[in-house]
Amino acid sequence: MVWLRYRAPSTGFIAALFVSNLCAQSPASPVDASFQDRIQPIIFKNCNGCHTFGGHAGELRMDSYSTLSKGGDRGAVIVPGSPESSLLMKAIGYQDADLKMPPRGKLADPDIAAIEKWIRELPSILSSAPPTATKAPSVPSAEKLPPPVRSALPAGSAVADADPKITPEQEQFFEAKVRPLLTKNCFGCHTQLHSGGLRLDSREAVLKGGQDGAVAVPGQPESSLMISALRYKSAIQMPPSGPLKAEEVAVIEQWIREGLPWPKESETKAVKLVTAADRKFWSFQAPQRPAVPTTNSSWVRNDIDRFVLAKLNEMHLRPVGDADKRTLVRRVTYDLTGLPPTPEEVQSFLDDNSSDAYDRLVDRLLASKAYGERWGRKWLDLVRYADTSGGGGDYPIPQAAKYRDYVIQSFVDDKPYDRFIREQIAGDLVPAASEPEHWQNVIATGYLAGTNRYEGKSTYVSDAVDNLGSTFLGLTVGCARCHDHKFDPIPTADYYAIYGILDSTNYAESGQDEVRFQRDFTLRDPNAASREDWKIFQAQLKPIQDAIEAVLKLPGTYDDLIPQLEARRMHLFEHLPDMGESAYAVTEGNPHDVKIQHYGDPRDLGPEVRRGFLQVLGDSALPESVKSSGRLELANWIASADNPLTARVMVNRIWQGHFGRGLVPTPNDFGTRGVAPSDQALLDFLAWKFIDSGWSVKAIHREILLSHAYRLSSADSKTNAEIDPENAYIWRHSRTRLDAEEIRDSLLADAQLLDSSPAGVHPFPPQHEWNWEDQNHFSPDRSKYDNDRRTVYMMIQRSVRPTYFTLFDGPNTNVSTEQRTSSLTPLQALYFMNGDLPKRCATSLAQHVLSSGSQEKANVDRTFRIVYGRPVTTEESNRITAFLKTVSDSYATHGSTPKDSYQKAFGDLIQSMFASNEFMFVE
Amino acid sequence: MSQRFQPSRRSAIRSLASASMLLPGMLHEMLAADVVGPAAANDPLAPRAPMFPAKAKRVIFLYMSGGVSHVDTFDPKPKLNSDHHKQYKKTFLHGSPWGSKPYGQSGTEVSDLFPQIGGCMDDICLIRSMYNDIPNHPQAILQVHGGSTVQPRPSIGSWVSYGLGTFSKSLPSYVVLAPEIPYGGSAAWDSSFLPAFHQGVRVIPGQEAIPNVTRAGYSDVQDADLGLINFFNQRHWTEHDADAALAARIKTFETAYGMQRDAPEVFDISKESDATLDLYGVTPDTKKGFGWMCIMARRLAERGVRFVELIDGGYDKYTNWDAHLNIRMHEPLAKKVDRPIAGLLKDLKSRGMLEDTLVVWTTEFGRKPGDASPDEEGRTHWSTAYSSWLAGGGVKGGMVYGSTDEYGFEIASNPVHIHDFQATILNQLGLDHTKLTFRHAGRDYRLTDVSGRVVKDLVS
Repeated sequence: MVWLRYRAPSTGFIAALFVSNLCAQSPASPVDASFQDRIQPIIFKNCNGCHTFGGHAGELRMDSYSTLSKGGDRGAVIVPGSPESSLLMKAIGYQDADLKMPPRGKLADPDIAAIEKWIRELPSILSSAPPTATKAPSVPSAEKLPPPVRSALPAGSAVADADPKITPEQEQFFEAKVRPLLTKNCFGCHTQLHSGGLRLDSREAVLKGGQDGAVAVPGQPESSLMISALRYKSAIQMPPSGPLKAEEVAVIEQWIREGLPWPKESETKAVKLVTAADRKFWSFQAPQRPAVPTTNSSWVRNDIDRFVLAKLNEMHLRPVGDADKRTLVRRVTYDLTGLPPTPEEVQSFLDDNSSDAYDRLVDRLLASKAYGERWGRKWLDLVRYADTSGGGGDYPIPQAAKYRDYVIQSFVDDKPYDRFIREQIAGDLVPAASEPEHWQNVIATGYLAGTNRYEGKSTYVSDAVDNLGSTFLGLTVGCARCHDHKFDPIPTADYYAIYGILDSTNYAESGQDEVRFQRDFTLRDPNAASREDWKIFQAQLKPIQDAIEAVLKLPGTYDDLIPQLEARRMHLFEHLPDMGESAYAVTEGNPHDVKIQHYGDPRDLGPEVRRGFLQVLGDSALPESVKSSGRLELANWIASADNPLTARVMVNRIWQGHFGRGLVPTPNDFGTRGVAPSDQALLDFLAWKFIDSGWSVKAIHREILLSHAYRLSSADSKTNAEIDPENAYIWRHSRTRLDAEEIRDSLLADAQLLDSSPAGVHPFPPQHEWNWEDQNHFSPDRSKYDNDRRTVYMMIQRSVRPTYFTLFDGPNTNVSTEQRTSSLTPLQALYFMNGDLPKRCATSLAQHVLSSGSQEKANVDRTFRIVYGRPVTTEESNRITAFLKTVSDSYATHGSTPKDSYQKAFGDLIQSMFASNEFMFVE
Repeated sequence: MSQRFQPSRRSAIRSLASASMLLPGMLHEMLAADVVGPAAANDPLAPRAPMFPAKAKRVIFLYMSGGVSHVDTFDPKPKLNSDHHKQYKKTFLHGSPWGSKPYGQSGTEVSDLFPQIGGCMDDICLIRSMYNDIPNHPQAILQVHGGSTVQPRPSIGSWVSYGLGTFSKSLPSYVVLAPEIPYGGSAAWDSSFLPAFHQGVRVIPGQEAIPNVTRAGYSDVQDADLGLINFFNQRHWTEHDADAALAARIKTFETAYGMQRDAPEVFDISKESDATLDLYGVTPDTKKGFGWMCIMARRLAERGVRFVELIDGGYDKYTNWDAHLNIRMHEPLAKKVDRPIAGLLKDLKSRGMLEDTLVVWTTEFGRKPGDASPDEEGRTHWSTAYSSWLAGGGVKGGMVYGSTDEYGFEIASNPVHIHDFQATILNQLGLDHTKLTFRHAGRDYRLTDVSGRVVKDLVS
């Protein structure tokens, strides 16, 4: 019956609002027509992308009058008849520093004037429509007295602090009247800023009050500080910008009189629910096995080709011819192993005329250790692998290399990708068949342990959530740390649901300012911690650590004390008991849910959210029955065949690794801001195939490599390039520059210098020498860490990128590297002209080739086969003969013996070949 | 203006031509059939005429990494100081620890942090109403350099290189002197989709200014080596459809050779006069520091480098301008750059170079004049209003453009968006920012995206 009161509005404005609801169904209505004629063109020109076609920045959609009139998360944006009080006008007028719209530049003055005029005229436009009410208004009128709402509670009764049951009419009243007032007038200072210690964004907060005590007494507005402040009748006068209107104060009075009814779900409004519409975006829909296009073309070798050809035809592109066998063997060898094929490997492929020669080549390469080293490195790029902790002291982590080796071995073993995910997130918790297997699984959690180590736990747990999102899901989950994701359906509550899981996890500590040694690393021997010598060591360490911590708390300087204590601590560590093997890993912590951190600030907490996963990817909350952290469940959620993203994201990475560009060219962003797939059907087909093969990465490699599309030449085609300059549809093979690892590894391999012995651990100093801190971090003497192993085994310091990697676009150690860039710079040219390694490798290869004692022509030919994978041509041979003569003479003139001169000249020949484009690019 | 790099056989040989000191005989042979017409036409880095008469020929871009507080430097606010700790706009106001005074005939107020630059205010065109879109480092740095907050786009230096080429045959068109890497990494000087030879070449001040720039062997041997490399590359290039990336890499050897030849002289300041060195506060054997970087900027500009960028500070908030911890940390930083920058302006002026050299001083954003806590000693990011300045290159000296409110929160007059700033810089170089475009991924891109206007009031 209270509804009746609402349905009998006494003003044209309320009636008009009902009309607006109807308007959505009847476009001919005056208000819609006026919107479409006068406003929509301006909106589509200026607000598009954020507020239209599904865009809903700030929860505001501006596609139609009906969505516009609903307003956004700051409440109503238009007040018909009153542009002065319309938020929209403030925003487009750039009157509010926090809300200037459109952000990239103010609208033209005539546009602003047009909108202003329209809002002013709205009441008359609205009232010209039939007042047929079907639904309660969603936009409040702040100008009219609230209709008397019958209280659900006896007036003046002492309402308990316990949440009263809220009636629908109270909820309506709250949403229509109270919340807009609070939002407009109070929330600026009394939410995140909690001025005066007061928050007003939940019933609980209002009851709690601020530094001046309680602000509202349920049922008793007259005794409530809030009311006297609003009436400007006490020392505190709120809001400071000027008193509210009497009728507005009356709304708050009535709300307090009724016992501060606050709708339950709106109390945790930050927990935005993901809607069915949100889920409609292509990447949030589970991939269906698409129908494979049919074709009679003899060009087609497998299903991939059927998709590729269909797309090429659709785009009016014609594939170029095939790569020759020599090009193909070099291409596929680099792609799978990151190394050049040896002359013998090239020759044996050329000589093999059997129909499955290429298939067997692919299989041989996939079975090699080098394959794991190449593709493992790609994974390490994503998880921003490093051998030191970064942050303050940048402490060495000798154990990190075990995770690196685990990753490499997983690729070698073709570990099912779903298992690979589970082990990295929850390896310590997954069942294992044996102790060695369990130990490898523990090492796998080095993924999580290797999160960025700066500042407090909140910083590195955030980094872990961020990386988890981009690596496994291809989603920018990290954007939801401070606020609901602006573009993807990831409420900030979802972010903290995952955060809670990772916050319920203990991380190995690799060292920090006060604690300059390793703590909480996982020991392989589960009983090690109860050993007598360990206990004694701990007992000796404790007083020193306590003293250090106590001194640090002292006021004033302690420059003399700390070094003494650290010396004692270091001396003690000389006698560190041998605890056996340890791993840089994570363990279960104290399972707990966390509160939302407003704007990512751990001091500014919002409502608590249940641990869980992303709503948009399916059933999400951690069941109450789960008493552990939820890490295992998180791993299972991600590694599920039902997850619409996991398989797609990984097959896209494999595709990118072979074609230089992903089907989705933004491999870490499959969200609405990423780039749509060039061929979704093909992507989905591969994702399906991946899952169907038991998540076999090698199965996808094979599928791709055996396609005709992969075997095209890199020849250009003007017509194709006009249509598809980026070669998104694979009308040819894209030429690629060798990446940083490939360059160095090729130099070493060609020079016969590549050291293939097991990598072992880096020669970090022992713990008893560790004394680094914020202002004095670990700075290794790099020469100690140099070796001739593959570059994947190079010691990577997190805080200082090796200069070699800067030169050739190596991976970033702080953020996920989704794709390497391939710059071409004079500095790289200088490296080949004057750098140490190219010179050393050239000299070594010259010695190797010349030691055969063959004729020059044969030696040059052999060199060509090693460096370029092909024989020398006559033209080249002639040119080189002249070169060797000239340069030998030069060296002789400079004082070298004839033999040395020739060998040096031969070295120069090789160095020039290393510097050439034929070495640097793969066709 | 379509300058998409489309090499022909002739252009490749042309691009080899400047390496003619390497192997004159061979190049002569290669060029024999080709040497017709204006040879420079196909050299992508050959100097190019501006779109309209230019006031500036080159840019020296002084970038203060981390976000310099405007109210503590070029936009002093006496009322902010007198209202210290008063509440305003949900915050407590925080006065500046430094006073200020008027400088020069223009009487422009500058804080005591920059007394030397203050002395140059009559040559400086100060903008107190700058703003950009996202108050966060990586995005702001991307936007200040490439126009977009989201994607790494070609840096302004790369655009200028693309639009105008360079005067120097032996030095890169865009040199970045950066002892440290700013927030967001090297994206600041990336050429992105522009051809790679427009990318900023980073020089790390120190012993060897450019890694591997010192020739390792005998020069006659190296010349022969480079001749052989060219022989290999030329063959390879013609066999591979005259691909642009391959041509670009050929070009890098040419530039590298020039760098190697000229670098020792370029990077050696020992022959500068004592008076000049004193302007920058350096000595003949100085090899790094901001003073060295500033004198190096002049030397590079003199030698034809089109765009020189100096980056002060990196991504470490203890040593850059990102004064969250304590605003007083601006003091040592200002002390370090004040004299060298003033020295650079005076030096350029005395050589007559300031007339056609545009000096830009900027940062990623300002810092907030107030804070939610009365006890806060630092200042947080503030992109709603900040200050930058221009000097030389046809801008009006001794003027102040735009203003902020009495506390420095909001722009009070004449807002200048970062795109306007960029458009104005390009304008001084004779480039129309709406016409300097590059076709990429199906559309024409430009530095200022879809907005930006030249601020005519700034230019004489």
